[in-house]
Amino acid sequence: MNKKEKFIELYKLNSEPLERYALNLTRNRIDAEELCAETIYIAYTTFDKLNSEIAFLSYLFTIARRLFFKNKRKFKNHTNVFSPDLISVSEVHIENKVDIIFLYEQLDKLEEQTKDAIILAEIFGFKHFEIAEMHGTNANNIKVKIHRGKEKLKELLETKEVKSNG
Amino acid sequence: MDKLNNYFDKAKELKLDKELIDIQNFDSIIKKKSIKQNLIKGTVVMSIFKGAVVMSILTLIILGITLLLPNEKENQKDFNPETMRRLPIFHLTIEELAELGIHNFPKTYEEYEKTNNNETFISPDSIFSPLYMYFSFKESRFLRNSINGNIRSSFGNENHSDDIIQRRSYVNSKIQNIQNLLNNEEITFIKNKYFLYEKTNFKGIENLVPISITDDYGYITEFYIWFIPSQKLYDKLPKRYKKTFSEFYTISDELIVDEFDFKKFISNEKEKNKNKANELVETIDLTLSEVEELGIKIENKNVKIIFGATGEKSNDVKYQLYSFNSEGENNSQKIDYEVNDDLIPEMLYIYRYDKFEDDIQYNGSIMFNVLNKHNLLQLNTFENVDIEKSKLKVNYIKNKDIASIINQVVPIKFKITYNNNKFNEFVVWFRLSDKLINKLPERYRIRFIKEFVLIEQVLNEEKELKDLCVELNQESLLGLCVAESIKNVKVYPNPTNKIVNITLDIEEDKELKLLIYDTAGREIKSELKKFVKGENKVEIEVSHIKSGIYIINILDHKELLFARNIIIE
Repeated sequence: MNKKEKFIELYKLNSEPLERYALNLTRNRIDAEELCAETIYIAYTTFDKLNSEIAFLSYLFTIARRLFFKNKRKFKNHTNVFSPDLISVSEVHIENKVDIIFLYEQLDKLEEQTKDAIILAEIFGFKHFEIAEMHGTNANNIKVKIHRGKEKLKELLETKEVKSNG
Repeated sequence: MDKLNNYFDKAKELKLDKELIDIQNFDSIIKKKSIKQNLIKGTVVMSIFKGAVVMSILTLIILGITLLLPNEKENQKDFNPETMRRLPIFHLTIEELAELGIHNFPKTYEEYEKTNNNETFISPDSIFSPLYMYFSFKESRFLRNSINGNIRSSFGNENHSDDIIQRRSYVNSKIQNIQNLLNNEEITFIKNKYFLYEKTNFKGIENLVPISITDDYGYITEFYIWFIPSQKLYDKLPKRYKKTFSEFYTISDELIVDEFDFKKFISNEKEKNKNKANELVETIDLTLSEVEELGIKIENKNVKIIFGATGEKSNDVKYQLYSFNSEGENNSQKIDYEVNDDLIPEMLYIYRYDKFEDDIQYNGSIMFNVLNKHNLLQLNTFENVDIEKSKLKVNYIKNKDIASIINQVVPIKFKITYNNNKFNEFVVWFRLSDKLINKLPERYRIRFIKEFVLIEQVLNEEKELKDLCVELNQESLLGLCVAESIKNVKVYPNPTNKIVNITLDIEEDKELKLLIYDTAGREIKSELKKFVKGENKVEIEVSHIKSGIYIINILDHKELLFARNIIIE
């Protein structure tokens, strides 16, 4: 199996989370496509540097994340509230849809790095040390960030709910 | 934190409908990007490409103009009043918009973004309650192919309940149809004057009036605000649109859309789940190198699969493995390998043996675990197993044993392609454990973190039960397949080549069935034997059976009392 075939095979298996993450960042399908394509290009050209195939996904995520933050201005819509419809048009229960929008509204109020760390940990299931590698920091730092971020998020969600109910 | 996790769980469950990138076009993606990269880097190549890019832009513009014009006409032709409907778009100026109670409307898209609260530009004494929405176009208005539709939020949803969830769901249901339009391709049918849409796709929108305020801000962004066609709106509309308005709308003070019955919706969903007996078990698809992490060794030439193998040959341990020749035909044989005890598949596998990729023939069978010391989970209902193309679907009846088994094991799938385009797909079922999760690629890890906590509990309880069994009856250690009504079951010698002896204690006189299966689930031997109360000994002749791994079952009518692997040499 040559490099290209191997890359394509691995990408096929990892494409779903990457594309979801790209949508999370850009909040727009066209921009997300662009971001994924760029990620593929960079990942492919530096594919030889990848030590273990098991870490392929975090490799992709790291590239996508860096590209996004580097060219943030290019992606105009990233300040929109995230909508589940970007990802799934059908099948999402209407109640869940409302909750997801609500969650992202609150997430957007957090600091950028914290938000990203929480999304990576809670929605994409990365471990703390993996996120730390992506962020270029250490695991303890991420752990604290996530913990504090979640506390704040909890607070935000609760106050908002109380407000809306009251 | 539970509530928070609840929110995250919902977000996790979102699945991508449609792939963003078609990896089949890999070459073109790489090519495109490499051109771009070279341009950015400003290398010597840049000057060469520059010419090409300018040329391609020019040709694109020419193509665009030539294609656009006929398209415009075609679309006009496509309008069939029987299946399609159209809505006039009302283009207003900022002053005219103020008449409708919307003041200080943001002048640019960026400004609009900053106004988190839409009410800031809707005057509180506004008599209107516009329902929704805007979309923005990245491209020029005349090239609407790349439309970036987005529904933001409702301006006024004073309707109905105080309960926020109900109110939201009500509004959401109203815009559902509009969103459908955006997500379908019909959006390309937006003209300067009309929205065109399929009649059937769309229910609520014909009762809304789209008011556009594009012209003031150039071609970058178009906002649409949707109003209810009320008498008041009619009065305030500029004269030039009054005629169009009365042609298209019946004046109404309320939005006429089928009421969204939230409670009914929920109860229907619950009802559906109640009667659901089919469970879809999604497989974990791994590449061959990822599979090796799990201790499944695949040797190429003649494909050999060794479960739990460390890859080092050993003289002490003899285990059956699965081996296939270059045509993909089963060629199982005995082999000596040291086995890594860490991660041995808990049970069974299903394989499908296929002719060609486009003409797949499934041949599923679920088998016993052949390696584990403690005896395994049993699943012998071949006829109930049904494999879908890419996912594994196991049909089972709820509340039966199988349900609990399926929930405890993880199907891991991998594929081996042979010379002649044939391929086998293997599904190996592992018990969900911490070790397994750590060895899985990260893309699958999230799926199990929540489940794992639950299963860990179940396993711990089971373990306690087993410890208790040790005191009472050594043989109960064999696991789930030993029924209470028989005790002290021994199968010896194992491995064997002529005869298998089975001894067991039984509580009352009974006629039991002895069955021998092979690893593909085929019945090899079946005997009815009479057993008396107390100690019994049975001999089974196995000399005529080919060497390999087999499973012995003892059945009381259809109830399984005992299962155990034997190796016949």
